[in-house]
Amino acid sequence: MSLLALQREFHAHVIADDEAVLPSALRYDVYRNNYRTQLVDCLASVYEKTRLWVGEDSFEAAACHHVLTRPPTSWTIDDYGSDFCLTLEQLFPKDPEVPELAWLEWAMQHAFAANDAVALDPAWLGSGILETVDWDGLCFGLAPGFQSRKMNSDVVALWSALKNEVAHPDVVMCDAPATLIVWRKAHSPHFRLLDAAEVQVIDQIAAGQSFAAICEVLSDQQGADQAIPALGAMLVRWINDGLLTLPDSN
Amino acid sequence: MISPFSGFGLGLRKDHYSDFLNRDVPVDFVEIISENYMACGGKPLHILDAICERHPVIMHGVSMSVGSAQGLNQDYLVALKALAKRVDPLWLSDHLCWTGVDGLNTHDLLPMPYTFEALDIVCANILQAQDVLERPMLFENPSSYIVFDNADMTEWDFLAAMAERTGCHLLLDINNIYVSAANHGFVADTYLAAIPPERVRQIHLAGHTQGDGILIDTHSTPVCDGVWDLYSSEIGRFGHAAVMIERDDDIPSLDELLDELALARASARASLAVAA
Repeated sequence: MSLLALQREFHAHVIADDEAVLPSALRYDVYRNNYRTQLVDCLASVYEKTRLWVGEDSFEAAACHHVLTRPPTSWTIDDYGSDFCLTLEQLFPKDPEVPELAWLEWAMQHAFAANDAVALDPAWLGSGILETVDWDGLCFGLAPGFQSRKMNSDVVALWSALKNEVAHPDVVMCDAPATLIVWRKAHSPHFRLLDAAEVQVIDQIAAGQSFAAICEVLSDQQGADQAIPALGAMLVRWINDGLLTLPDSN
Repeated sequence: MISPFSGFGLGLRKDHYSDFLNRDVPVDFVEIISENYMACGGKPLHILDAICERHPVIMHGVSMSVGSAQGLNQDYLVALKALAKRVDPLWLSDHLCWTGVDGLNTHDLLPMPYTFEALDIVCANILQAQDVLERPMLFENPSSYIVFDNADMTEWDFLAAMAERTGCHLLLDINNIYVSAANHGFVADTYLAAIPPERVRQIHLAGHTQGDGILIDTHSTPVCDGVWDLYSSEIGRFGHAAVMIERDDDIPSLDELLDELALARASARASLAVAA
């Protein structure tokens, strides 16, 4: 048997489910057990709050299902579990807060170690430095680890309750989907819900739109007298939050 | 050629970040898991930079998959090289193993069949890695729970041939030899006697656990007496190598690991004194 054929056969034994009968002459069971244990432990360490919320047994079952259905593809185990919220959407179709909480946990974990970028410095506000910027051609970047998702549940409140070890917190569903963003400022990941007005602009920045193009769209919608001051207020808040980075600093 | 670096060190683990940043830790080097700092930023990289200022660093990888019949992952090599440029390590190491196939990764160190075909493939992969990284590497003997019946040679002959053909060096894990000897019924002394000492640049000492009729290489326990005995009887041949206590699970306090490292120093000193 060629090395490639041997490796394919061996790998098939390692990732097989419990129904598969392993050749008894060789200890494939040790490798299969190592494989599953390591990946389930990996998910448990990343998704501590989700585990707390759904309970130990339900989490273990979901994690095992994920390992069997979505084997790792990246060279780093740190990437494993990035799509666990998709598995949870399938397994908890009536509990939207479960995948949404998992998404938030993954995004926070990802942001913690995301590649560095140079954030716009709040000290520049009012210093005159920003007056030298070519605003028309400027494309802002977003902070390390930036991600956004529309939430149907008040996952912010749920996160806080779990963090504060509140027993049996209630889940509140949003009247309308709200956009949650996650990013890293300095060494700490942060999250918050966006105001409705912010969502459109953040989406445009994330899509790589220039500042001039964003101004034009908002001015067409609201009129320049209203749009430009509103946009300025957003930029001040985002710079203070460490949410914007210098172009091409990622 | 990698210059020998004799000394005693520990593997850097997150549990001990604070110790390494705030104490004067008496180690000659620290070994990092390369993948923990590749393609990342933020606090982990900030801490790594600080530790690099305090200690010589060795980069130890787990994902090169040098035994892969489908070749090496180019993105991985590029990221590894970038980290090496930042860290400027004493050397880089990985394992004689494969980790996956057809784009899937088990994140486990899977065993090689010791065949002539596998040797050709491993050597080609090592030469490619060393070419990209622009330096020789070290490769560690794995522990294993399976012996393939199509083997053309022993593991120790495979390692010696691999080092001879590629110019790579060896990282000898004494615990892995102990575990595989127990699991497969060979004599550990025979294994060690066949290893060319001039190729060995580093030694790992670790613990294991008893599984169902088999020893499992968990790195979750202190070094056992049998491994200490092997180490003290063989360190005379490998006295130029860097020696490290490796713990990957059930991480104890740093002081507990430093106590274990002191045993390694004392054992080496005693063995080398007798040899002199």
